[in-house]
Formats: sequence, structure tokens, C-alpha cells
Amino acid sequence: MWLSVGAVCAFVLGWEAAHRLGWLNPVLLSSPTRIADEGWRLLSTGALTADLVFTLEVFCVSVIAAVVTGMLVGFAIGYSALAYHVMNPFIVTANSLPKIVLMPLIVLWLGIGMSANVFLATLMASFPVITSTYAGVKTLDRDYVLLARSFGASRGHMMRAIVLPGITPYVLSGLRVGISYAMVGALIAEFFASSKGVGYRMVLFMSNFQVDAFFVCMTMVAVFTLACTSLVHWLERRVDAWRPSAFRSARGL
Amino acid sequence: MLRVHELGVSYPTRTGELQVLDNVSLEVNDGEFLAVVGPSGCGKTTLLHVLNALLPPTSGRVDRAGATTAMVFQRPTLMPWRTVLANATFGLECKGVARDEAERRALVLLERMQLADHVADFPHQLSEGMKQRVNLARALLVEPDVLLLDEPFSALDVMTRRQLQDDLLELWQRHSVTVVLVSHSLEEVAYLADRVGVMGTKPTGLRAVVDIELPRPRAADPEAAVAMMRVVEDLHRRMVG
Repeated sequence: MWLSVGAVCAFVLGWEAAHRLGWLNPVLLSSPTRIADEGWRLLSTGALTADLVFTLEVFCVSVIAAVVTGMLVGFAIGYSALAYHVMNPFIVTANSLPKIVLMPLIVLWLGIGMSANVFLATLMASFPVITSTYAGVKTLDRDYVLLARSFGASRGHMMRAIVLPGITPYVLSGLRVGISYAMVGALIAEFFASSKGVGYRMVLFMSNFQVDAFFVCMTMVAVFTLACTSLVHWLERRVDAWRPSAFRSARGL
Repeated sequence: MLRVHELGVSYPTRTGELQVLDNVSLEVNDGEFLAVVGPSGCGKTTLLHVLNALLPPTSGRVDRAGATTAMVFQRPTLMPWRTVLANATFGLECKGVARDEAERRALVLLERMQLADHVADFPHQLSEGMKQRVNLARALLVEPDVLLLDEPFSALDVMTRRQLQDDLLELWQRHSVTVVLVSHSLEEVAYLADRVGVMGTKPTGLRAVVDIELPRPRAADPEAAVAMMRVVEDLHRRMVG
């Protein structure tokens, strides 16, 4: 942990030093202090607020939509062999396709605006959730279902007591990957076809050679995505608190 | 109590129908300890699943006369994300018993089964013997008329197995429950059962039903142990003969 903090500090200090010593071209590359100054300016004047809100909205809606679709589709293909055989070719094909090439088509269908961006981001974020939910359903122990049936459990109770706790760690690990995909989707959609959002502003800043402002956006996106991913990671560990580590000796028996 | 009449079970497979049980007739009497013994893969587990209504008979019928059943699986099948207490109450939970009431009852039984110190533990912290005791407690807690046990002691070491067998006998007597135990161990059924149904290899009918008239506790002294071994040999002859 402290080693990681140290490494990050060393990187930032080294970067700043290299900049001050004139080793880096100031037109092509920003520096930590310049990013901080520019960031403060952009945030305090509220110049970026509307764009931040827009991108975050797209991101949040997409993440929720991806969890819902991912769990539904993942459960369906894990539960029913019929659903698997019918849907799997489409899922595999869609998954191997770089989703970004669909953006012109999505804009054609939905027009330029938030729904097109949400569509792309959701599409990108769903697949990891689908695949990991499917894996979770597949690894569910058949004996638990038999056990629940032997006690006459209802379907609903079986879902709540066996399926949901069994697949939750898998869904979360899919979500952790999905979150960064959702951010990529939200930004790329803005690169392509948008008049709002952090991604749109990044393109604009770059075309005006505002390297510092570009770096501010990049830093904010990175920090935010990292925070979300860490939150999910923390949730994963909480849910999995019972699971013993394979590499640590068991306590007690 | 439970009456099995000319039961047949077959599964469809790629090569055709696989007959697992053929013409099995058996009566389980109220309060008795009945064992069914046979070699691996002879359809013992299938028989239990039919008794537990997890599997429909292909032919014949099972008359359960309103008797309730609960199953103790071969593997402990404890949910790793639940504590011992939450695993033990799972059956009651399925039956719709309120949580407070379920936990109160479970704590009483777990204490009696020397698991009081482990109620908050997770399954991976338990020994195999303890896990199997939780498995047993979970089934007993729903207060079934008939307790169905599917080779629950087969994966345990000799000392733990004997301990759990004695625990089971004590619980059987205390709760006056009817027990149907399926096992491949002749020693085990000779040690535990009032009556033993002997099965051969697939497709199997019941070859014999043998009364075991040994006093309990069995194997208490060398003579009793010798008498038990005689029963084992007799059962073995009937199984292969």
C-alpha cells in the first residue's frame, strides 16, 4: 500500500521536475502543477460543470442498465440451455465486434443526444456482466438446488437464498470491468457525436492546443473511474468475506 | 409409514433406457431404523430421491400416507456464505418458519450436538465431521417423520464416523424419528440398523430384507463385535449370492 503511494508520488515529482528542467516540450505535455492550476480555474469558474454532470449522468444510467441487462441475459443463458443456444451466437458476435463502429448507426437510430451515448456505453458495459453472471450461474452447486427442493422451497426463495448469493461475487467482478467500459463508452460517444460532455470538451480543448485543460479532463476521468472500481472491489471483498484465501493457512481447523 | 410398491426407475440415455431400480417393494415401519445396503452405483441414492419425492417413479408407486421426509445428503452441502446457524435454519426457512423461532430451535439442537461454540463460524472453518453434523441438524430441525440419509458418513475417518454413528443413534431414539439410511458399508448397517434391505448390482431389485436382532449398544464388547461380524458376513453373502 505505502509502496504504491510512494511510487505515485515519485512519478508526479519526477514529472514535475522533468518539466521544470525543460526536458519535456510544454506544448505537447502538461505538468502536475499546470494541471492543478488549470483544474482549479475550470472548476471554480464552473466552465466544466454542465459537461461533468452530463457525462456522469450517461455513465450512471449506463452502469445501472448494464447491471440489469447483464444479470438478466447472463442468468437466462446460464439457466436455460435453449436460451444459451439461441442467444450465444449473437452474444459472441456482438462481443467480438468493436462496439464503437456501431456509433454512427446508433446516432442514426436515436439521434445525437444522451440516449445514443447511454446506448453505446450500456452496450459496452453489459458484456462483462453477462459473461461473469453466466459463469456464476454455471458454477452454482446443483446440490443446493436439490437441497432446497427437498425442503419444498419456493422458486422465489430458491432465487433469494441460493442463486443470488451464489452469483453476486461474479456479478460484481463483471461490474468492475464493466464500469471502466461504461466510462470508455460514454467518452467515445462524446468524441464522435455530441455537443456536451467531458469527452466533447476534450476534443475541443485539443483542437485549441489547450493541453493543460485536456490533462485536467483526463485526470478527473481517471480518478473518478478508479474510485468507482475501488468501491466495487471493496464490495466484492465484503460479499466474499467468508471465502478463505487459498494462499493463507486456514485459522483454527 | 412409507410403502414402496413394485418401484421401477429408469433414465433415458443416449444408448437407450437405463434401468436403475427394478421391482423394489419395501415397507418402512414407524420409528424403525432401516438401512439399505448395496454396492456403489446400485441405485441406492435414486431410491432415496424417490422416497423424498425429488424424482418420480417410472413404474410402481410410493405410498407415503402423509409422512414428511427430510434428506441428509452425502456431501454436507452447506452454503459457504452462511454461518453454521444460518445453514442449520435453512430447512425451517424453506418451510416458512419465522427467523427468531427457527434460530431458537436451531440453537437448542446445535448445543445438544456439541456445535454451540461454532454457530457463528463459516463452513470452511469446520472439520468434515462437524459439517456433517450441521447437515444432520438441518434435516432434523424440520422435524420430519422420516429422516433419509444418503451415505452421510462415507467420507469421514474411522473415529469421526463412529462418533457420528453414535450421535445419530442417540438422536434417533430421542426424537423418535424413523430413519432410512443408505450405505455401501456392511459394517455400518450392521452397527446401526433394525432391518437391512440388501441390493445387488444394477438393475436391482431388493435381494433380501434382513432383521438384525442384535442388542444395543452393538460392538460394546468382543463377543458383541463377533456377533456383528457374523451379521456382516451374512449380509455379504446375500449381496453377492
